[in-house]
Amino acid sequence: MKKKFKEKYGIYFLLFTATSSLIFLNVALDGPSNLGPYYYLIIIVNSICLCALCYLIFIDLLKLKRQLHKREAGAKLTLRMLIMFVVFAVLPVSILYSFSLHSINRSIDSWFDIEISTALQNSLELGRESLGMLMRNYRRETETLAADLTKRKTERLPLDLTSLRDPNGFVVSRYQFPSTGLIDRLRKRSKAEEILVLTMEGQVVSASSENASLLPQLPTETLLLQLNDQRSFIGLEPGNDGQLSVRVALNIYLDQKKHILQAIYPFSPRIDNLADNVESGFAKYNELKFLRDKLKISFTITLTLVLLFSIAASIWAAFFCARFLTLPISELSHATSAIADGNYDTSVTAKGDDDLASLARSFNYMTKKIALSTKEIENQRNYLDAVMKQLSSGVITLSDKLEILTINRAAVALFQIEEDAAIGRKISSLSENNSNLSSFFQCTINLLSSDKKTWETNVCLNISDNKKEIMCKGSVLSEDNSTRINHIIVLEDITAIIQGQRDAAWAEMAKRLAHEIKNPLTPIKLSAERLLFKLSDKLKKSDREKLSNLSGTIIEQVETMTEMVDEFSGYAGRNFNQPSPLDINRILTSTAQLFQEAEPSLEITFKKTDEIPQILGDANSLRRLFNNLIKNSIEASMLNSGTKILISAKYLGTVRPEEIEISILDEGIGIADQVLQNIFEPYVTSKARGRGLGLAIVKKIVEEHNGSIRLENAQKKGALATVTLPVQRPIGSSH
Amino acid sequence: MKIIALTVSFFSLYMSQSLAEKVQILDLKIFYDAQFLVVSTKANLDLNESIVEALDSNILIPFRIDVKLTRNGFFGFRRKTQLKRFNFTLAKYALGDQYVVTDQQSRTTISFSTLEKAKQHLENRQRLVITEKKSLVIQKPTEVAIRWRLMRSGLPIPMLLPTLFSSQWNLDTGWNIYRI
Repeated sequence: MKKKFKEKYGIYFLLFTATSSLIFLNVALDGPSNLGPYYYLIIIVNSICLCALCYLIFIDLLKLKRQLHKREAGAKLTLRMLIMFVVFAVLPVSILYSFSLHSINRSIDSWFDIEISTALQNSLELGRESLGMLMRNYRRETETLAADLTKRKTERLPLDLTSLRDPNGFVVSRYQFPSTGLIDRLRKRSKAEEILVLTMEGQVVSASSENASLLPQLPTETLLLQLNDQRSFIGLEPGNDGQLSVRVALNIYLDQKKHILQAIYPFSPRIDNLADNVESGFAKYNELKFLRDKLKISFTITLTLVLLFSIAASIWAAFFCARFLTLPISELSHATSAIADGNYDTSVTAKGDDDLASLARSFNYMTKKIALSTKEIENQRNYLDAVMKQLSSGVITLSDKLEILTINRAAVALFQIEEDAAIGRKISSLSENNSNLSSFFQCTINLLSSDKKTWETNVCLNISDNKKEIMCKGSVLSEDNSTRINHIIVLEDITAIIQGQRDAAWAEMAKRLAHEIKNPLTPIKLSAERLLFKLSDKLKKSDREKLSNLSGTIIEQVETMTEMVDEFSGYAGRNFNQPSPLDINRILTSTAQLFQEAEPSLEITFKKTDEIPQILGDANSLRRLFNNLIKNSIEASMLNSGTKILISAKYLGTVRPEEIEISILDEGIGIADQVLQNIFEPYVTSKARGRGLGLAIVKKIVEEHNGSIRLENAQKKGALATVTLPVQRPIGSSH
Repeated sequence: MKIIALTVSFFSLYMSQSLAEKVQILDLKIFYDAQFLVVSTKANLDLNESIVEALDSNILIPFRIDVKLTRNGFFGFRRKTQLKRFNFTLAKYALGDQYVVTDQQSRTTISFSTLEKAKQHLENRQRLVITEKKSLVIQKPTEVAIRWRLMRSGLPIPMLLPTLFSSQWNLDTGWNIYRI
């Protein structure tokens, strides 16, 4: 700001100085003035100002070149204005310059005319002649005076008045000849203003003057020398006060000694005035004649300086005007770029009441509106993003080229892909690194490529060994190209729903089965036992044995069926007791001990950790859970000659602070892959005699405790069951 | 930098012309006259063709004699104690076809029938009063410097530029220093 201020006033000062010095230069040339001693200074100031202006222009030109190179806004306009100003300034100024120069030269030449010159010369000659006649008269008069004086007798010795040449000297008279009275009388008789009698060495012998207070006008040494050689001298002399006078000096003999008689004759005022006019006129003309070429040069220099100043000033004015005009445009351009870059807080200066100011105000208004709209859109988008993120359904939007425009968190979690990596990629390319998704995406692409505006399909996905049922809905958003979004796909993970439905169906079936079958089983068993009891004594031995076998079979099968019905009943519906804090270590210890006693051939180890917190749950259900799992492990170990079963429980601590993990690792035969996928479904088993309800019940208990279970084959041999249960979490509450 | 270089060149050129010996001081007498320190000097002026032509065209030619009293100052520098200027003009009186020498201080005008005589009178400057004796007691000057020159700034303005770089118009003795 300070720099701009200095620059601004520096330029004003420069222009003021340049203009002033040009005016002074013109005044100095115009005629007699007191500016003579400062002429060189004026010329130097002019030159410095011109150089400074040229320097400023040079700097501006460099700036303009840079701006043109960078294609900055307003640079071309500045260039055009510059060319326009230069053309408009240079042409007329140059024409004016050449005409002025020509006129000045002609007018200077016109001052000198042969007739005027001749007339002046003639008047000078005439003046000389007239004065010559007068001078001759004065000479004759002086000769008469000399003749009168020489008749007198010498009376006294001469007085040395050499010191009179010293303006500070003074005269002391001792005695003189001729006497002052005589000289006075002679002077009064003649027209002389002053009469002096001197020795040949210049010593004043006697003097008489009209004005007694004035010192006598002594002859110069040159004149004295001249009078030594010649008899007389007559000369026209301009006096100290500018008055013209005639000096006549003659050699006279006084007492046979050579003396000088000097008489000064003034001209009459009229003659003096006329002579002065002729002299000054001729001198002025002669001077002008001599200065003719020099005047032309001086005027040419002045005019050239004016021309250069005009051109330089016009160029600088072009830059100034261009800057004045292009500044708002440049500002608008920068502001537009800033807005294009997303900086909506940008505004431009709107000073004044002109068109550019109006444009600037409109621009600022538009910017504010855009900023508000953008903020609103941003808010809506954030809101939509938040909604999308919270959606449990996956949402993918696609362009017409099936490129992913947006993908929400649920979809990312579903496909287990990176969000940033997915955006902008074609949907088909997502399956490149994941072969499990290829069938899904192929199916989706086929549906997207079809003409259907909306479509729906269920797809089974196998992600990280988890089988998921996905309900996929697609629709075409717009058919025109006004928006980039062309398709939207909504993905719903319905695995849990289907599983729930399946579980509910199984539970309902089990419940009905238990209800319908369990009721007649007891009478059947009782009837068979009664038959055996009533008839065994009445029948012969062979028949009795037969009856005993048959009734035994009936009772055995009824018991088996009762067990089965109990299991179904257990799967179908369980009534939990009030959940209570449980020490999982204690449950697992007792369960492990129980099985170790039952199967001493195996080494069933429980690796206890003291830091396990209590959980909320039903102790019976959890005992049944661990019983089923350990029982399965024992059976699997028996088949594979496994010797060890390792049970462990640990608190996940910092990793997952609200969970504990219980794992059971055996050395059994493991689980076949085809079974593993549906292992927790009822009636899925790898055992020859199993009913496939054990793990289904296990899963149900785990889910009732808001936990999770994972069953997988161990790295070396056997299987690993991992149960995760929440700590102190009330049963039935969701995560 | 270019401006500085140009300025230096300009003044170098100017100074080289100023030092041209078109005028020489032939004699200088410094003496006390009653109560004043007085200088009488005689110079040799080379009135070349250009000056004579200007003179014959009724151009008034101004001359100046600068007399400066100095004494030794700090670090060997001379310190000015007194500066006195004497201005004279040489002109032609057309009506009388004479040459006129005017002393601007005393306003005395003396006319001569020939230029040579006028020049002789101009060259021979007698009894130029510099200062009072009593002021010398206070100032204690040790040197007197004298300079004769043609004052171009007193010429008509149109002549100033053409004569600026003309060696014929650069009549300047420079400072001639004499010990008192």
